[in-house]
Amino acid sequence: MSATSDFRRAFVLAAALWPAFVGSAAGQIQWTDENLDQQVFNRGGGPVRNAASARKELDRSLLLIIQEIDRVCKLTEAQKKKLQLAGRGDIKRFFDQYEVVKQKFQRLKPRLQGDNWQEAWQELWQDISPLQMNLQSGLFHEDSLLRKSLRHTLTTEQLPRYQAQAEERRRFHHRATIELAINSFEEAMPLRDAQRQELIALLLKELKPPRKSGRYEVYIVNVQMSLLPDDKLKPMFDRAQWKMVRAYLDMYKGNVQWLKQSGQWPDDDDDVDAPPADAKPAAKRAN
Amino acid sequence: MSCIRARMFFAVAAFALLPYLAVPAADSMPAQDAPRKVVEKPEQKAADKKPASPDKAAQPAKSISIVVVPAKAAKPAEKKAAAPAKKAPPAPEKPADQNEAFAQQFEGQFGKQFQHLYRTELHLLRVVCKLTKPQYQKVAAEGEPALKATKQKFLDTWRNQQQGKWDRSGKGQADPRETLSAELEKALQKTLTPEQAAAYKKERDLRTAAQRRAVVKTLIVMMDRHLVLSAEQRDKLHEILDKNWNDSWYTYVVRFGGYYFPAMPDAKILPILNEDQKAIWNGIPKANIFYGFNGLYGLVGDIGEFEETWDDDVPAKPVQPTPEKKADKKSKQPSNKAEKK
Repeated sequence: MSATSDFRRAFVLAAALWPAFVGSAAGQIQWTDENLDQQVFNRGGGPVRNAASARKELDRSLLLIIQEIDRVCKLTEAQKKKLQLAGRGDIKRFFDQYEVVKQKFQRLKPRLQGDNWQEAWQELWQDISPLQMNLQSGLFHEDSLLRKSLRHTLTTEQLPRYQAQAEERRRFHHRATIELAINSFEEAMPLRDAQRQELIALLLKELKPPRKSGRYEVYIVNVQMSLLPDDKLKPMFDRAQWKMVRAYLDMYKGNVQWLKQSGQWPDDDDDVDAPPADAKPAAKRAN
Repeated sequence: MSCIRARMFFAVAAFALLPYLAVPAADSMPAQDAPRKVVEKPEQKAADKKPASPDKAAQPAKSISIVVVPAKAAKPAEKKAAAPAKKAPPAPEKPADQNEAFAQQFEGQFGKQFQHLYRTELHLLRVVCKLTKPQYQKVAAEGEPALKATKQKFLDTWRNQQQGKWDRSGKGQADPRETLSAELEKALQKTLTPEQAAAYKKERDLRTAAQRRAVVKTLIVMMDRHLVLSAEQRDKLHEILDKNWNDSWYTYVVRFGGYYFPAMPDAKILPILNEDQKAIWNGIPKANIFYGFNGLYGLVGDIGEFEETWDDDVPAKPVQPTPEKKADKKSKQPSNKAEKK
């Protein structure tokens, strides 16, 4: 079974559960714009967000990111404006995609209210899902316009400072994810502390952080761990443990393709903050 | 294996819809979303949980309601009398039967998972306490009450959930392994030597500390994704979360893969945030997912049974090998160096 068909099944499940949370009365599912917003802007319950409130929050997030870069790099007003422009481009790109889905939703509404609504829902879900995932993993990830523009906006003095700060943050996140993944693993197979520390050290050395943050980070750690050669992992477990470890990791094998397709898999040459070959002189970029 | 992967992806999809499936915390649960009361037998649940097709959905539902089985006072004497009443006309359900049915359903659904939990924890105990095979067998037998007590705790939680009595204090989200190891420590007080007990206690403490470290770091990462914290803020936050540690955070954070926020000590957190960060932080939902107990970590049941191995273990079906095969087999036998470690 391919990862694609696995996900098709997941979509079917989502479709099956859909009527449970869209309002329904007297056998008729109520499909409203709020239902769509609830799906796209969902962030784990709480007050339902809509496009306007999500936009406001994204603006604030952009502001916080620029503030943080400014704290480290002491940006000029021109640089701040450039970064704001790039960040707004990311937000616009997201809302453009949302508008496309919204239009599709309007087009599909008659079908969604008909007997074969599952089919229409599945069609819609394929567009909602990446949108939802994008928002949840954050718009200002390594491939965003904002991050890419940094290379052309910061001076040669500022860029290393930003890189050091970004690297420190990435390492902190990566370590936390690895420790969390090991804790999850220990629900299946407890480790001695010495083993735990050895495993953390190995994973920190061998695994790369994902390209996008979000809810699949632990999953990505497990998939990467499943691809490590046995001779790196096996020596740290005893015979009985190793059998469990291998069985556990084997469940994660074969999901690389999907992670690559969704842009989450860390690339081999993952150094997005590296200065471009055509770097402009510092003074020019600062203005 | 492909079946396992499919199950995993089902779990991912269900996870994505979790906010709608979970019970909202008390403070965020509007009156109109209160659980509907539906009288049903436990064995009917699986069928009733299937989503209704649009044309069959008769009741308005703003969110998924939790099915409630009304609890009736248990009368142990009725337990046996009710059993042979197979041919009798349908009578009102006997409460004792219901409890028994719950216990059986729980055992059927989660019994294997708890066995796995127990066996793997015993293995840790064996390694940490350097138990010999006879000692291990004694410990395994005398530790059974700990397994029973752990199962009983989670059965109680699970039954209450099935009956709509959700404990929103966070106790229902306890870590099963921690519960089991605490019970084991109690049950084995007289079985283990003081040195062995101390060694196991030390290992448990180290595990708890590691869990706590991972959870605190994950919570900081979760906040950092939203609030773009400075290194100084992260350090302060570490201190705050460590000092205001809440046991329910572990399951919350590990179960939800570091995505949903538990209840956080906002009174301590807000003073270290700037105004923009505060605005975002106040808008983030917290503690509005309640998972309760729904089995052990989703994958435990799929990785096969844990088998304790000993150096003197005899293969289950010994084949009479030829002298040549014998030599070959010897060379292929896994090294037991790690085992001795």
